[in-house]
Amino acid sequence: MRRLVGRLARDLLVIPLTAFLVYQLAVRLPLVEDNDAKSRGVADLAEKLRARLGADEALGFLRPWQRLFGAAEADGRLPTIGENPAYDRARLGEALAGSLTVGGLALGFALCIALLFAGARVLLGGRRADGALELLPTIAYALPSFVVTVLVVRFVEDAANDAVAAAVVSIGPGVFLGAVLHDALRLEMERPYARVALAKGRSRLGVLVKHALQNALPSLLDAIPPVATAILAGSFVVEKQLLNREYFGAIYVDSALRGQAQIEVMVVATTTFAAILVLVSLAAELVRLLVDPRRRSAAAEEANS
Amino acid sequence: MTPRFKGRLGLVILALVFVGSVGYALVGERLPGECVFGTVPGRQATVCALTFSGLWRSAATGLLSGGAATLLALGLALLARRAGGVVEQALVKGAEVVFSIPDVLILVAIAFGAKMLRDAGKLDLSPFWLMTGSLVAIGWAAPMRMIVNRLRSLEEQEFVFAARSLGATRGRVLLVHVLPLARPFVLAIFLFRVPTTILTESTVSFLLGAGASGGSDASLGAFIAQNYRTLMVTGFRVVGPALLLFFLLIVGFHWAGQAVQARADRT
Repeated sequence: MRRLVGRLARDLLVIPLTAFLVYQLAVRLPLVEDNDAKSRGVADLAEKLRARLGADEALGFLRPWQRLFGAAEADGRLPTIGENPAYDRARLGEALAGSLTVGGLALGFALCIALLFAGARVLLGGRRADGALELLPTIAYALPSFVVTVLVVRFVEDAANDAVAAAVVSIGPGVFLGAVLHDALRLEMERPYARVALAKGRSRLGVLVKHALQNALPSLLDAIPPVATAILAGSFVVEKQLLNREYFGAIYVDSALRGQAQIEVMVVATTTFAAILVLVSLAAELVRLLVDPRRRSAAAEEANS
Repeated sequence: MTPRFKGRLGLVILALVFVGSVGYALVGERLPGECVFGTVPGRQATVCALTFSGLWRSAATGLLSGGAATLLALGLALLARRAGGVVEQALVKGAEVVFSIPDVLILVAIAFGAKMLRDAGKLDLSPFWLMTGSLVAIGWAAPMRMIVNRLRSLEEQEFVFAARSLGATRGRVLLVHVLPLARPFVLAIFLFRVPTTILTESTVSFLLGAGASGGSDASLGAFIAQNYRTLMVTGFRVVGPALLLFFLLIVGFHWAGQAVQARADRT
């Protein structure tokens, strides 16, 4: 528990640190007048932009959040330059909900793929079909989300929905998790307790589900944080190119393409993504603490002594 | 399939892709008749020319960024092991922090910064070199952690203790005794880094368009992004060859890396 609290404190610190660094990077970049503003005779846009961003203030990095969440001079939206869209709290909230739906579904699908893949490989161990499954991680690795997106666009009618997008994102991470789980399950199936259970007449599937899986789960949970980053990258692709909806990832990419017009959106989006990754990592650690039988018994021993 | 067989297959795939693209560059455009896949809709160039050009750009990005990132990682790992103590811990922790941030997130943020600098006339770097540099800046972290662990385990061998007891300094032990043994492992890391870099570059180019990787002379990812909407009209005629070459390039490097790593693990 002490380790979890320490990690919680350390990881949560990453969120304001990201907000500060991204903001500092953004306000130190040269701000210029865009053509649209020039044509409307807006003078000294760069100065106004710096003032709007609070570039010379110590807590200036909180300015985009103040605008969104109702502190002084807030209007509940992030202003932009020219004809680029302004994002208000409700719009960004909806976008974030959309992204979280796709990401959450993708993580769920990835876990299902992992369980199926690893289970099938352990049960088929040594047979020809297992040899074919062995190639799957390489194939999945060489087919990133954008390639799967292209294939889905070609073969699936009405592909622009959240479930299809999540499935597209989940294939690579799912097979990667499956490979990690397979290695852990294979080790567990060779341990004495699994051999005893098999010798007593339990089926291979029974030993796998009742005994080996719970001991292999910590390896799976340890692999979830890097997989969350892969899902995040994949969700950018599907939101922009497959769904073509204004979800959070698509807003982030569009803001990057618009440059200084949407500095505040970039700052808010980057910090939000950092927060999501930190929270996923902490959730995985918490679940690991709850499901890992070895750690549970170690904690119980520690409490008794 | 054994790692050795995979490695050979990977090398054969890479050799075929290389010979095919070099052959096309040397004689392809002089042959009578058009490219079998025709021209790209809305452009004068043939599918063959743009696909092979994309292949070269993707491969060049992967090899340059992968090589530079591996060298940087090796240098930092040697520095960390040479210095030890707080310096090593700081370098390894720094690598962990960089590794935990998604590549695509950073590359999009770098593209954002580059656009602002370019708009202000303060960036005169071609998109290709900007992408290559960005990939090196984020790509050193994972290899560095792995190389540090490898050096650490190699330094526990008996011959290292023997060299130390004979008076060899830490730097000499690292460079003369440990580094030669770590060479196959570093080569495997490089071979794994190349496809990872190509995948990241292609994903970002697919997201941001050709401008991210090299203007009109697009990488495979950017070429696919520009043309995948033609799938409904032309089928796989335009993007099919690019998808196939992309797949072969990744699989070839990955399998070659697996074979070299298996060999390195045996030593």
